[in-house]
Amino acid sequence: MTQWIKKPEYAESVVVPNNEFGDHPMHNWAEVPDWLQKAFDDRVISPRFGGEDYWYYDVKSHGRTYPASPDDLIVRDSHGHIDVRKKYSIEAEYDVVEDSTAEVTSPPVPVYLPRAWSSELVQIGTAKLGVDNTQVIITVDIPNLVDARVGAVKRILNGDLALSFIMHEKGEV
Amino acid sequence: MEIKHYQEVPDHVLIHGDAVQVADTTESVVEIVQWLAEHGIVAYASPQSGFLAANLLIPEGINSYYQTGGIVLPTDWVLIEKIDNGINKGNRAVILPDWDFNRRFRGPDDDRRGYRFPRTFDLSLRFDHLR
Repeated sequence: MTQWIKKPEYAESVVVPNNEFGDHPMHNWAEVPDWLQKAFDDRVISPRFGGEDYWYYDVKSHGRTYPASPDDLIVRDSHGHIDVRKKYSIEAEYDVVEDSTAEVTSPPVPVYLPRAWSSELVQIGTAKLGVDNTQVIITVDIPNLVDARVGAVKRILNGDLALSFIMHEKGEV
Repeated sequence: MEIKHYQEVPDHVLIHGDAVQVADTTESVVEIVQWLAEHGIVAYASPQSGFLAANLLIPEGINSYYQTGGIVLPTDWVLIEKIDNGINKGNRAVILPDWDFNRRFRGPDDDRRGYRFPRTFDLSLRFDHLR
């Protein structure tokens, strides 16, 4: 017997805004991703004024036309299908993906500098490592520092990152 | 299926009737189809993806300020309104999403009166062409 487990499904959604009849139906969307704009351009989604004082959006899906009213979700799944869902129904099937653009920052770690003519290390400040979905950000907080630039990435070994700084402290010529 | 009598919140109410909220089960949809049929409104239950329930499809009814037909999604409301205006006589379905039904219609235990719906037009959008 072979056992199978369904692959994870990924979906994106946007909330239908409450556009009253005096509004343009394309106003007030919190965001219009490319797939939503294309759906409007291809008439897969069409605004419709149905009699109440707000716009409906007719969504062609699975051979039918579904009405999306304010607060409904327009969902695009990983196969590219566009559908109308209520919030409860998508929450029953999907978990929210944590905001991938949110920055994750490490607790501050000490930054040491070797004392001149000695192997003794002196703490000169702290540094935090931040990561978001596009970049790694190292924030270095060194009191008394007036100017610095990263000289080179010295080495990356076993997860440790060593940078060399060219820096000038206050009073230093 | 819980059927209650609802009427529009303003005192000059014109629209009232029995209403039910659509649940996300095919049994609920079938019950509503049968209930509508008892009042002379032909509706359909049809499989679909997305929701657990079958689609509830109601053909467009006599012209109304409200939706009278289309696909009704779970949590939406269906109200049966009696029509007798001298020309048209019969019933039509009024269909509204949950949030809108609750602000416009009140049930037997609800004493709201004369509620005016907030209108928040952005007039600048209307007069852009005059600038």
